[in-house]
Amino acid sequence: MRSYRALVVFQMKGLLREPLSLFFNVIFPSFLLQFMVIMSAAFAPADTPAEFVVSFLFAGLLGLILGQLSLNTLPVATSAMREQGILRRFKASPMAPSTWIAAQISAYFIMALISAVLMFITASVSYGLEPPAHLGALLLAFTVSAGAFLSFGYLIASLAKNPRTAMIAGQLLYLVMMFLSGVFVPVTSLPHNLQTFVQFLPMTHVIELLQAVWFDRGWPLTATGALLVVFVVSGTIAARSFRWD
Amino acid sequence: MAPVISVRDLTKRYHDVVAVDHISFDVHPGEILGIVGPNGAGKTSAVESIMGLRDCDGDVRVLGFDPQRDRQQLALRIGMQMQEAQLPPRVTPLEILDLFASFYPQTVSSTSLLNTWGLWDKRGSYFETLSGGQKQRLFIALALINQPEVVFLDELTTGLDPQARRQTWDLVTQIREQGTTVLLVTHFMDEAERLCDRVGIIDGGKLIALDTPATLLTQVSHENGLCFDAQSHLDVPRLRALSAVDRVDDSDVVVRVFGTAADLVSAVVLELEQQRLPLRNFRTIQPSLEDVFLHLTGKDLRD
Repeated sequence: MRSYRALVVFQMKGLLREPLSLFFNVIFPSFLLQFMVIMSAAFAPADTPAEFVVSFLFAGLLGLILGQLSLNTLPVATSAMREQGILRRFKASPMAPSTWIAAQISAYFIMALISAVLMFITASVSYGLEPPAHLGALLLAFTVSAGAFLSFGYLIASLAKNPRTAMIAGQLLYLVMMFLSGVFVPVTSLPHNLQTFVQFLPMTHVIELLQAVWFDRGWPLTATGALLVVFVVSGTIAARSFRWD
Repeated sequence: MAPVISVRDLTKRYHDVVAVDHISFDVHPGEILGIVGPNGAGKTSAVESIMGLRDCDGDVRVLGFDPQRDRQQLALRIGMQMQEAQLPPRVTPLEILDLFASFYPQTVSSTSLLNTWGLWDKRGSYFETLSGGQKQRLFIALALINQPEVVFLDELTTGLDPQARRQTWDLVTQIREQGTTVLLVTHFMDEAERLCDRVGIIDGGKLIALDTPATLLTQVSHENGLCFDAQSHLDVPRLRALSAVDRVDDSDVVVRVFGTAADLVSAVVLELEQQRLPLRNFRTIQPSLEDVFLHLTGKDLRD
């Protein structure tokens, strides 16, 4: 337990001290929210309530925070630590691989929470966004989404040969999901055949879950089930194929 | 006493290449055993297999553990300084020592390690800002955090300047004085000669010799040697004619004189005085482990 706590702190420091990671994971989502609100005001139908736009984007960007951390940061950071021989030094200690993985996932989850809180403060100050009615449910939805997404990111980290392939795979998946999974544009407004395709993207279910809870549309069981499958399948493969060097 | 490390027929293959070929040896409690050999001889492959960091064939026991099967249990009681290990760029020596301390039930305080290894002033600096020597010392400090019974040091002084190397040698001697067994891997023969109780020479994946440095040195030659700066007035034929002298090599700026007789030095000094030549840079030639390596393999270590 002591090593787990120390490793969480160690990982957090690594994320916060790296300027690029600090910017994209903590500060950027708040900027993006403001930019997207302005853009939506220019294009959305005139009768769309401003409050709905902010809420819609906020819920979607919660998913994007997880996507950025899990797909762009975690795979590259982990495979770089492997390539540079940092993980080898840890392999030579009595620490169990499961402790390492658990601590890393926890640190990334805490980072996601910090980023989400910062984005909420921005939305609240700029657009008067109210806290969600079901904060506990939202927190649970966010945790389920983070579990699925971070395991998925770990899968890329475990399978990638080097930081380059990790970056290409992560970025590609991130971009596809950002545009198609309903972060900015509702999935229902996509062409019909694309709507079927996006059901295979984990982000689609993350956005559906977060928006459903935010707008109090009831807990979507299909999306939850899909995310649990992603969590179990990628988590199992990632843990089995984890390599220190 | 039972050996701390026992290695029997250790073999390490990478696809078709045999990097380590049926190596067997024991390391006794409290000794410093050196594994020397040229780069690519299989030293690191052998030692990392013994530590359980690489899979291998053969029977290896360290403190009674099978390093392959019981890697984590064994890791509690050994320390490792690895060749080509790295740490994240933005972590400080104090942070990394405290982090590693959390992996072990009993540890030396980070503060005392930082002091011993001359890193106290750098305790709050990022790893990326440390010099090569400071990084190396931090890795050694990390290897000692759990008061290990056996410590593995792989290319300990590579990248250090001569002064830092000597300081490091003193500290390795101190590690041993605390009763810790040391397995040292190096391609520096002077390091092995200076530090090790016994030296194993690896070449082409095979252990070709294992003995005390003194015994290994007697294998090379029973000849004594001495040398001094060449001078134009030197009468070489007269020097050659001395009964104590077997051969003279005057092809260089330094004249080398060899012989097996016990009075070689006094005979040569007397002769030079009779020729009224000053003794410039007069010294005896000691065979080194590099000569042993040359003798055993027929090739120069630095080739």
